[in-house]
Amino acid sequence: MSSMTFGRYSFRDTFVHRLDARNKIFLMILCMVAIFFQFKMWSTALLLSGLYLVALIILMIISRVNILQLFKSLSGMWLFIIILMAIYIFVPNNNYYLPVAFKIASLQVRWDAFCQSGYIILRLIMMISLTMVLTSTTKPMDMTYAFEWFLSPLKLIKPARFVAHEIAMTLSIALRFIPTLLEETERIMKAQSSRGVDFNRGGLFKRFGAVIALIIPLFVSALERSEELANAMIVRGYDPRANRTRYRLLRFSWRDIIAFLLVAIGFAGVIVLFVFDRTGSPLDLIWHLFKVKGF
Amino acid sequence: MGIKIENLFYTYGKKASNSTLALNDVSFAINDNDFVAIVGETGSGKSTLAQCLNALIIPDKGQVVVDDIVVSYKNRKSKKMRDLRKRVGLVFQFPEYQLFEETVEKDVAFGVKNFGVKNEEALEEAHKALAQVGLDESYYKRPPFELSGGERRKVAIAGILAIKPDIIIFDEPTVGFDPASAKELMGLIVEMHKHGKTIIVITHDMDLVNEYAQKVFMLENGKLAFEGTPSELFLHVQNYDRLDIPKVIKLALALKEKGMDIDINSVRSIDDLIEAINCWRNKHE
Ligand SMILES: Nc1ncnc2c1ncn2[C@@H]1O[C@H](COP(=O)(O)OP(=O)(O)OP(=O)(O)O)[C@@H](O)[C@H]1O
Ligand SMILES: [Mg+2]
Repeated sequence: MSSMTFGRYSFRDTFVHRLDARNKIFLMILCMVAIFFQFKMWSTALLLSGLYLVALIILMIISRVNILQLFKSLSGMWLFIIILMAIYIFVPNNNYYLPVAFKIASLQVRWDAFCQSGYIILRLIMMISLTMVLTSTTKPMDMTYAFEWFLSPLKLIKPARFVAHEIAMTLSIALRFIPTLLEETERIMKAQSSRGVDFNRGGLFKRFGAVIALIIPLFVSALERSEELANAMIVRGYDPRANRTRYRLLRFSWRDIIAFLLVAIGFAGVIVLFVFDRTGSPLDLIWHLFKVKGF
Repeated sequence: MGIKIENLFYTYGKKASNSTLALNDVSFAINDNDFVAIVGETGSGKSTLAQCLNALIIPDKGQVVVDDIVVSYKNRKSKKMRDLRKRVGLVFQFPEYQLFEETVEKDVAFGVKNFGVKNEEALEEAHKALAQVGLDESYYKRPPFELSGGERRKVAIAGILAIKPDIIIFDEPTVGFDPASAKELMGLIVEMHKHGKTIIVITHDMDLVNEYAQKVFMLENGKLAFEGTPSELFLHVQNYDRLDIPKVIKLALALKEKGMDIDINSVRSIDDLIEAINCWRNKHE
């Protein structure tokens, strides 16, 4: 269970840690969008995936994020991977280029199914890793301030003046409580096990019952905790409507400019590739070569 | 028979950089129908030990033997672990957080049903257990979340009693109770002891240890630092300011120093001390 705490902020003094949180969030969204683009031509897709991977690994090394821990926490994704594979294998689509891998009865399974699902999984893993880099290099408090800054246009609308702060506060509290809730989950699991619930064995129905015995106490304690927290905040004079000052200020520096330029140039390149994706760019020659050779 | 704890080791967060050695070579034995207390300062490993006895935590090294069931790293996947949980009931430090059914009686019956008892019988057992903890029929149909903290704890304890374990472990059962409720709960525990159950109470309350326990085990930084009777413990730790010696014992010790020959072993409560003093007076008048 404690391996699930991956992506928690850990203090290190690196280039990435020192970036402005607003900049980091913006750049991460850019990268996510870039990764999200699905290229139709395998050559472009492969080339870009390779580039992303290299960039990601460099980023993780620079920001001194624990790569091993990432892989450990990804090991729970196998079920998702199987489902995705199944969808690609059993739901027919027309974009087949590759030969048949094997047959199940009358169903032809082409290598495409594996490539396409692999491509999606790879991109998903890259997105998760990116998020992890963000959360483990940015203080939750800075993240909140950044969100609040992004939401600040709302302040111009009179009735929604305080919404930005409230949303940001809610977000930061939610982030703060994730490890606490994980601990709580472990505790409740133990308590129910000692009453004979078996979380690792039994049929579907039994497991469903076990999950109910876990979820309800978890929700109850979370709700009670939230009420306690709210009361504790009110008692200490918290007022979401108050004008507040900041102890820490977010600042742009030369680092942010460098990071911004790097990501922006990369993003522009991806956009260009994406525009030419359908019309057969020179890059796709490699693919055509394979095709002519008669796969 | 009974419980044998042999060279138990357990480390939290083995892979992480900040691992804690919570149990460090702990060995002792508890006989059937013993009433034992486990004491030790905060973080000394008491709750960890309790969870080992229930196989919620599997020790890294060493083993716990309850009757014919062995809890050890080698046996960690054994199906017997559930049988063990039927035999060893564990009442958690804050058991009120494990309630989840819509009504009190259903929640108490939940554990019984898990061990394969039919619905009606389970409800019957639940009613008996609720009566034992002093909750009457008016509570049966109430949702557990609308009860007070103390009432919820009683429901949670009833949930363990209903399973009818032979050995019951209480992790700080009286914390947060008013003195009357605490006394009531201890009365209940004594009653169970009389009915042949083995009782293990984890506590910081030395008065409670003195009054009820036949044997005490003290943990210190995950090691067994002392084992013996309560009075032996108090003599052992007289100059140890981490542990509060009960006032009765302090008084008895002071009187003894003044020349009154009082058997510290027999002083379990104020009444015992008064009797000992009266006894001494009768002898010297
Ligand atoms: N889930 C956990 N993860 C990591 N470390 C833990 C965990 N639970 C306990 N520990 C550590 O193990 C040690 C023993 O803890 P344990 O809960 O057994 O103490 P305790 O004697 O019950 O204390 P208390 O009297 O406060 O209940 C402590 O140092 C604690 O920090
Ligand atoms: Mg404890």
